Amino acid sequence: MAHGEFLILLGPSGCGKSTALRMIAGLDQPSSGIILIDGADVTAVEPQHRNVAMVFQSYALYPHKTVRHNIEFPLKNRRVPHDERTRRTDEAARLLGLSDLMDRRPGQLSGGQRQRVALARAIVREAEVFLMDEPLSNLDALTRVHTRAELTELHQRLGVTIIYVTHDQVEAMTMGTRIAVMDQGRLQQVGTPEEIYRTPANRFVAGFIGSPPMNLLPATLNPSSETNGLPTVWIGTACLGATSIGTGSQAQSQGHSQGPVLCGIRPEHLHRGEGPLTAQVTAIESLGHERHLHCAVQTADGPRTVVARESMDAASPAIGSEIHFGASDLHFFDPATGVRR
Amino acid sequence: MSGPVGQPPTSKPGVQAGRTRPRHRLLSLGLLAPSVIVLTLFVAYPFGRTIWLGFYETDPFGGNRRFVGGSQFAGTLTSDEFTSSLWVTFRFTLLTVPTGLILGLVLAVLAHQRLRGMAIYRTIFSSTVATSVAVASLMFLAVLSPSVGVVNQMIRWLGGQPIYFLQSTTWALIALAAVTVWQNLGIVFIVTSAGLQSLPEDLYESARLDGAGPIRRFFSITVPLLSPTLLFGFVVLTITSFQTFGQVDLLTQGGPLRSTNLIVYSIFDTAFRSFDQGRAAAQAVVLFVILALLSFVQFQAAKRRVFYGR
Repeated sequence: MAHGEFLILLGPSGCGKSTALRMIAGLDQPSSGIILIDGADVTAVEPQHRNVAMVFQSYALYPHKTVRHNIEFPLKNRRVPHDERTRRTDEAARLLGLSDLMDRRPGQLSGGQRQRVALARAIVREAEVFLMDEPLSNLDALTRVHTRAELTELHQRLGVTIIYVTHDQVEAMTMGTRIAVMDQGRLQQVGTPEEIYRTPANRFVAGFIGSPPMNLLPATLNPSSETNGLPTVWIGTACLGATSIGTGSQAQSQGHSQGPVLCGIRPEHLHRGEGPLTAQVTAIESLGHERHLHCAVQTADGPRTVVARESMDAASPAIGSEIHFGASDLHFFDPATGVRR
Repeated sequence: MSGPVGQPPTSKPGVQAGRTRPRHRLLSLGLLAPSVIVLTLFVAYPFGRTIWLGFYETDPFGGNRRFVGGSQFAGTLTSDEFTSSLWVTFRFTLLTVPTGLILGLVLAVLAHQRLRGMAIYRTIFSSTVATSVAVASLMFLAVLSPSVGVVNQMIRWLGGQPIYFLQSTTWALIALAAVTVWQNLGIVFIVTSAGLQSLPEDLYESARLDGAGPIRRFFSITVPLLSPTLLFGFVVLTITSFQTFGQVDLLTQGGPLRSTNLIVYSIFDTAFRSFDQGRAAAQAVVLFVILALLSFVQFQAAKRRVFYGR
């Protein structure tokens, strides 16, 4: 990753993102492979000599030390002279709005304040890389939104390199310059938030990113002479029209332009009204500004639930009623491997 | 609730509660009774009886009581025998408490490492808690024996003269302290190990990343966060060292030349060898007051240095 980047490691619980972060920190040893920081192999280097700072999920503040002593602890260990230490501690505290809390202990602070002390302790080090392990997960929803913005601003102001672990895709999409999606210990896709959202590399990324997630339906691509040779997409007995997928010569030679596929449709790309896809409304969720329609759609493998997102301006359908959808921006994945076509 | 608003409920809960209250009281008294009886018989009564006895002079069998007021309490504080025993006990406490506490803590920290086979060491280190004073004393009697003891054999092997540990005024108290430290090691180890288990791992990981070496981590994190446990150990060890009796009785009987005449042994001597039960009772009460004051002072002195979690 590049210097000054804000990389998010995103994935479900147990996917290995925290382990990856701990290996970068030196707290866990990789069973194979090497870790490079600034071109140097640090795989065998002790954590204290890697020049990385870490913010833990629990903040890991020393409960018996005051805020000041917490922040200056890394500097004390590195024998930074007293005056310099005080200056840097005060500067970090000022940057994070902690100047008035310097004599308090962590137990006397709110969750948000503790989180800021942990951040101050990390930035006072002036480390090469900042590692953050779900630092917002212990905060209430409102403080989380606030701190999210503060973190982004801090990253822009200090221009530091951050690797940030989260399972919260909103955090990932709003904060990261790039996102690395992980699942079952494997890297699934690395890209900008927009790339990850618009062109998910596989079925897992497609289903993981987005709220509600992308609808994935079994479909068939049929060659058609009526659509200038472009294959048509069929979900059950409904034809969604022609698609340009698999028109490249390589794709055609691999037989990608026909046969069963997994068709992905984002909820906002299902348009209610006249359309080929017939569905029965099973549930409706109103979020104030938008509405999520849960509907049953007939596919070749039997009925499947899809979620459509629409504006509250449209009149709500009744539960149990039959409605029709048109779909745009289709994604196709291999039904066996899950890889994007 | 059904029924018209404002009407009293038909089941009359107030009357029911009134009926059950005395039954609750009886039940609670019944449940309390065993502990109240045991405490009264074995703690409160002997304690009150001892204080009461301190005001009387008696014959060797505890009969023919004569009220002497507070003179035996005053006499205790001015008696050479009592003050010399107290001084020996202070020295004994200084020898056993810090050593026991530091040794137990160091062993607990070492055994806290995640290494293979550590459970064996944990069992060994905590096993002394299951050893009685008698067994510990006999073991040390054998170990410190001038003729066949392993310590003296080593001294001889190194070219030295054997040391009569339990017969020497210089060594006897140290030998008693060694037995006591060894015996206390188990409980200190268990208590500090339990304390160590409760310390969050991520504090140590964070400290490692912050550049703190093992010694800095020990003094900056382990010791302050374990301070309540260490204070507990400190107070308990101090009290038990003031109450030491078995080792003295089995190994030195207070000798040689009263050099190991610890306070409880001295009180026992007064009561059952000099048969002066009144004076022994007064000494016991004075010891109680000294221990209470000592514990209070320990807690007060440690207040600023002990971190209780906020």
